[in-house]
Amino acid sequence: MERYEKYLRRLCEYLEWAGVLGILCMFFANLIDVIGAKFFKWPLPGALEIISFSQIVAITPAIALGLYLGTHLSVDFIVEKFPRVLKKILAIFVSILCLALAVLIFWEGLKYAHSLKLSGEIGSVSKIPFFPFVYVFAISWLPVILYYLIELIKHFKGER
Amino acid sequence: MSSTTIGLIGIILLVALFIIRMPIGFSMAFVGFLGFSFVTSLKSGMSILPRDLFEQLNNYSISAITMFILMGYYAFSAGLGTRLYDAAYKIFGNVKGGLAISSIFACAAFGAICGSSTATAATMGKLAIPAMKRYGYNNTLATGCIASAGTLGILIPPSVIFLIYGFMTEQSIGKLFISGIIPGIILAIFMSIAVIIMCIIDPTCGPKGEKVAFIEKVKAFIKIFDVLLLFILVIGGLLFGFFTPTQAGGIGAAGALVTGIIRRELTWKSFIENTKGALRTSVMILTIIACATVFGHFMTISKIPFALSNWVKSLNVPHYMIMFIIILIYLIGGCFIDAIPLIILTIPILYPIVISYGYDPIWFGVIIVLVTCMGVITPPVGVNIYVIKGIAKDVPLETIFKGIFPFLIAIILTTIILIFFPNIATFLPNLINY
Repeated sequence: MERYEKYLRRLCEYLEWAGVLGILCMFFANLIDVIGAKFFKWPLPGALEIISFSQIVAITPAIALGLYLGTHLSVDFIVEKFPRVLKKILAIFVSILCLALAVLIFWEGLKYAHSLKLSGEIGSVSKIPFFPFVYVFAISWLPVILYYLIELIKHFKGER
Repeated sequence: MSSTTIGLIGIILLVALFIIRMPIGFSMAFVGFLGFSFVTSLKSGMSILPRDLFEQLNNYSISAITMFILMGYYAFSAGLGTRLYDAAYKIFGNVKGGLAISSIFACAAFGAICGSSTATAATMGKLAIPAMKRYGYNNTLATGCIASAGTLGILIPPSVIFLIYGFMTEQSIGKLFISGIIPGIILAIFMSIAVIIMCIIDPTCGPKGEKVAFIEKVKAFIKIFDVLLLFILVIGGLLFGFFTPTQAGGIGAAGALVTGIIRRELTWKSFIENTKGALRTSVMILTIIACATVFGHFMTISKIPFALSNWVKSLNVPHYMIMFIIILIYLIGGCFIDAIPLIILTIPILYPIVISYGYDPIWFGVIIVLVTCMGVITPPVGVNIYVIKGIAKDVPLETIFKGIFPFLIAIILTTIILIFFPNIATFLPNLINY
């Protein structure tokens, strides 16, 4: 299981690089838009949509790595006081709930992306289609699913 | 079962999920989905889940939060904190407790380019705590002072908390930002008074620093000119409608980056590391905001905010009593949940009550930030305490918690003053006509 966990963590780290590109894209699109608009009277066409779409690319692929880094906030100090067995039972329960939620977002996200692809919805100014970004959003939940699956298997195998 | 009863059950379930350590964002999305499905239908619940999350993350307004976080990280990597601390130290260092007072004002100044209390505490902690230890400062004063003064980072603009509040309540970000300036200065003064009182009670806790020549003081002040320029550019541009909040954050980030390059403080490695740091913080905040939208939809259809507002009004208790209870909710809540999720969770429920009583939404924003300041330094969650513990590893947590109490009193006093004199917060925003 450790091998798979290592692979998944590496995948999450690669995905974070996609996030870094996304946030830099947001930053530079913003900068080009401001400088263009204020000094050259040429704002970046569709800047708002480019920044919004870049935000999807920045944030969603990096959600999974946050689970490894422990950056997703949770209330820890109460569970810490519980006995070990109860802690384990609760951790399994939480993993099941999170897994269910991630599967739901992934599957419904794919359906939503497909519906946008069929309807051909595009950004009003940039003319960039919405659906690829919804696919990015939905697929980004796949490593979250795998994370909780591995967590559950490790719990049942007694590795946690 | 009425929709309000379902809403109440939803809130109880949410608290239960928090207690069993489910990530806060995921808990909100999960309960929001369940509740929405229960009130409407499973099909609607399943369809709203990805749509809410995607639409919120794809929202242009929310990108201001990401840009201001990026600005704070770039300001840190550009070494602006070091120069601010150096200037404050040269100006205030030569009085009793001067290093602690310097740290407070350096935190206030760093807060003017960084919108996060933890980033401010971490930046100043790394500089000020070793310096205070070198001069024989008491650990209680040194650590408590930095942990508490870090909160000035969210009160003095730009502020991530103001951005989140403004985004959730549709208030002007520019007005919210400047409403924090005067209370921020008052709080910095009160914190400095707390240091002076501590040094009067125990003169050994904060000895004098080195004497610095006047010309050195002037030179140190000139060195922070770029920070002042960055603040004027970002906040001024935002106030006078020259930039949108996202643009202001982006320009601020670019300004910090350029400063770092010109001063040769920024390396490729630190640029990448700080971009990653900004991304991780943004992911944490934006995930909660997006997930809270699902929960917010559930709350809206369960009619809880309206029912609560009507119930509170039917109690016929004085306004100030209601405000006191709301502040108490944040104070107690802040002890158990981190500030950002607490605000995201409670604003949609409590904001309608506050507004129905005729309170100024900008003023309430400042109050929210002040109670958040208390939350980030009170045990057991107090995030700033753990940031400082990470820097001063040899200082026990109890010592840091003990050290924050005089400063907590300073924050409480500032809050009380603001309750009785709301004009302190609304005076500057009222000067702007838009």
